[in-house]
Amino acid sequence: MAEASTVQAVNLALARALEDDPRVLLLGEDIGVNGGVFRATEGLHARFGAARVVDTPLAELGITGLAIGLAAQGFRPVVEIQFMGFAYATIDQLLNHAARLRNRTRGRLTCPLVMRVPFGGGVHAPEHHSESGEALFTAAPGLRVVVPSSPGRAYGLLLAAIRDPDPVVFLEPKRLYRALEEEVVDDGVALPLDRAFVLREGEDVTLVTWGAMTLEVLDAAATLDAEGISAEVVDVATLRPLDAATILGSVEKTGRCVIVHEAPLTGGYGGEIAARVAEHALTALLAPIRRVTGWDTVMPLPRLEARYMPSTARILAAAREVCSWS
Amino acid sequence: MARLAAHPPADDASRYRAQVDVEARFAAEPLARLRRYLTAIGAWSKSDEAALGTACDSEIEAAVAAYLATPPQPPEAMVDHLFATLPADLEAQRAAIMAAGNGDG
Repeated sequence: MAEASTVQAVNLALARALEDDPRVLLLGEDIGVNGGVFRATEGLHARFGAARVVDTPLAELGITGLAIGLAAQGFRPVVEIQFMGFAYATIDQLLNHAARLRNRTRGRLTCPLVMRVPFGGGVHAPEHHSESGEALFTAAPGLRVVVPSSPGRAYGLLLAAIRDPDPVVFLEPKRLYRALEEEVVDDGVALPLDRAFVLREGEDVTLVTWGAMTLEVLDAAATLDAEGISAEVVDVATLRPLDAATILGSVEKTGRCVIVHEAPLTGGYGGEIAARVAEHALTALLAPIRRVTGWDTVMPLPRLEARYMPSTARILAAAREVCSWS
Repeated sequence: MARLAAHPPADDASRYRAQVDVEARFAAEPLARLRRYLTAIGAWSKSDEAALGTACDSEIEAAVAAYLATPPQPPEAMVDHLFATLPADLEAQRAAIMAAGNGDG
């Protein structure tokens, strides 16, 4: 079996979906002839043709509106927005229409579109190319928000997102695109949506995270293990709808919860997870819930980027601190 | 007016547009047309252009040198320009950013 990077796994899943389902088509800026800004759609235009891998004008709001119309009429459009900073332009169509179509029509119309958005920092990109705006999308009832954290989960979750009957915002951590390779079996088997993945089992503290931060969190868990602290790592994967049961079950076992995300602290999705734990697992908690996040500011330019990103050291400090409570 | 150069330095524009199209765009490019017009009416010469080129190069080199000589801003500058005055809610984060220092930046 072949090794694949995350961006190659995305490409494999898109090709598989195009192969399997004639209703699937891809839309985006430079995704066709040029193969996409990150090469996620490399080769698909030549293989499937310009009618199914569509180069669009540079107009994110228009692309999204087009996809909503296609989805409502029976297609399975998969939109690529080049960077999270450009996805803000799609919010009107996504929140006011895509997320509401099923509810507004009491199920007569549905909106099975996927919007793929490379997101997050750590790649020394300019302004508008590094943000983690997932909480803007998790705030919208009716939208699924999915974040893969490895090549295998990118493949399986993207297939699931494309097959899902409702709109999915699929956020691809670009720091992971080429950071690692793993064996990806191109068998067309999807992974479940709405389910968190326990990446490492442990007894003393639950580390909850998603996307590229799983790299630092798993590093921290390995270091903690050498110190005699057993950390459980939960990759949320589908942010909304949240698999609260897996998180609560873990915290009930460990009694301690540290939430790690790259987005700013205030209004970040970690707040929702902390609230769920406080509401439903308070009696299991041995220590306050802690959050290790980006700071409450605009993502800095490359020279200060490393000062913004939650570091393994900060995760370790939080985990050790909660384990000092008993 | 279509852009004449590639988008970022990593972009290989030959993947998605033909050289013959780019050449046609260069021929129709407004600055090139202006040069032809000014030259035709005797208001522009090769030496004028060489002088302008040298002046522009100097200006760019000076700007690049000034940038490279500028030290990185301190980490706490991340939160110092969000509002006219630092909100109380950001004070603890600013202190934490400063405490982390410049070490691994």
